[in-house]
Amino acid sequence: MIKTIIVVGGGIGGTMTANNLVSKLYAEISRGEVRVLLISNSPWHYYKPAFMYVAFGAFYKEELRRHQASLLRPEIDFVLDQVDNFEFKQSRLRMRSGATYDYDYLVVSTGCIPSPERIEGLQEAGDHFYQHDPARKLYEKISTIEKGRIFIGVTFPKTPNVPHQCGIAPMETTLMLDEFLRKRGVRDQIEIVYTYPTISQLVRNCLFLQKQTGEVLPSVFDSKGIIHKRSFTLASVDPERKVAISEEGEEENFDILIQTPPIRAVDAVLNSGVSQAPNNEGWLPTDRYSLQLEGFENVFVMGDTVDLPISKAGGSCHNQSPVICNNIAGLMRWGKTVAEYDGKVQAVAQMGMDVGMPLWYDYDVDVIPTPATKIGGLMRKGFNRGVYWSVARGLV
Amino acid sequence: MDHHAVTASQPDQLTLFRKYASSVRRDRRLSGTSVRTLTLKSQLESQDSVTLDVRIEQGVVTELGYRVRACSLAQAITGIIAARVPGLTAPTLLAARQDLERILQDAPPADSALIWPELLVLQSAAGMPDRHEVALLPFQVLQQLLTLEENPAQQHEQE
Repeated sequence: MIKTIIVVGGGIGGTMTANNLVSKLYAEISRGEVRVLLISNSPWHYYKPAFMYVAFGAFYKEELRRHQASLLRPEIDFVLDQVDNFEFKQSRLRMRSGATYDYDYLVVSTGCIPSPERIEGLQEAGDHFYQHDPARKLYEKISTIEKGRIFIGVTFPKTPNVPHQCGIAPMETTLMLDEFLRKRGVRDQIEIVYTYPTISQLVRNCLFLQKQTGEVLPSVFDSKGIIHKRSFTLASVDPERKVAISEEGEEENFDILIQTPPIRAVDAVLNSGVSQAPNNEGWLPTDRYSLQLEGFENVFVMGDTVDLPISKAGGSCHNQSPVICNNIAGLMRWGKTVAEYDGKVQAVAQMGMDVGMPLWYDYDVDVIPTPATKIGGLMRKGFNRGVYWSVARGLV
Repeated sequence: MDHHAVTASQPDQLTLFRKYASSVRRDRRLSGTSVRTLTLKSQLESQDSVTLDVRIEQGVVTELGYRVRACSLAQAITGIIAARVPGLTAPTLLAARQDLERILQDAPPADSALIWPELLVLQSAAGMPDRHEVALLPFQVLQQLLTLEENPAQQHEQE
């Protein structure tokens, strides 16, 4: 009987994993023993990291998306629909269209949703760059501001050890903002304040906690006149007074507030009843090594949907995908999982508009910072403008 | 208080801290009729959760299992406790907990007086009173399990 593998989610994790599954199981697929479906609720695949560049007018919508089907190997059945209910016990998906799909193996890669509405006043008065339209709105503000104060903050999930989206993005955008405003000739009239919340200190495995990076960054900020302070955990925003209020009891005024917002899992994952995450965040309990959904041997979780202490970023998916493909193949062929995820993440951090810093880390080894260089910047540009699409296709 | 500065000046403690925390990353569960299990969650918004499985023979913990879904503080403490099994007793556990409470109050006993010197890896957490409840959670779970063993009339298994 033919085995069905369903990948849910058309982001980078789901797309590369569907393609990688075909490579891994090509013999079985060729013999008609296995089929692979990818389900996404959008006909488009977006290069999400480019939203950060949209905020600086350096990337446009048509440049950062491709038709989802064009990124998939021909052996994959692409289904344009939305999962309404994950019925993990029955190995079944119930769809918005009314259809149902039974599966033998499932990969959940449904991402996360920025939710500024979870902090009072943030939706009205704050900005972020994690989606296209908010990034465009931010671009309009920073490309016209002449003087004032830009206040930057980071919100972490409440779930222990689960970081925010793309650990280094707030620092990247802070450095890009400095350069952007210098090019506009208004930097001297605008104060940039970078803050980090208390909760991330010591108890969170996030980038600023990472010792060596933490030691380097203040001097980088100092050299550019960027004010930086710790212990500002955003509690609420007063849009009338343009004031950000912290859990620690401080008030900070702003002309533009760039805040990494709270995040949560998508509705179908939230409603599955499987998550144990607090604050209705919905992260799925994921085995740190096999990447299986706890209690469900035939379900794997990756990317932003996991509850792992690892950056929610494409660089995580890149390392999780082969583990999942090998484990599904292992279960099908030998009845057991055969690969383990070591927490590895890699990226090229954008440390200004034209310079980059390759970085990598895993569960046990922190980022070892290297000097930001133009060669690093070229690597990042190359990834942004071309290599990414090969990664999505499972070629790199 | 700048915790980054504190940790930066104590690289060995930070390395040790991470070593203990990472030692319990992989769940280790025990099963069988002689195993007692207890899960406790913090009252904080983060709902940190620590589950311990134990085998206890005549008041001595002989084997420990764990599932930690909590911040790094509770992970490190669980790792420290796990490294002290087998052979752990209720009086030793109580003494270690009292030492930890003093460390978290930034008033640690003299090194020579510490029952478990490795508890000093938690010294940097003294300035984070909001998280002390979570740091103590593994002690609380194991102490309750030992109490249950001493008083079998109480509930035999909780989870």
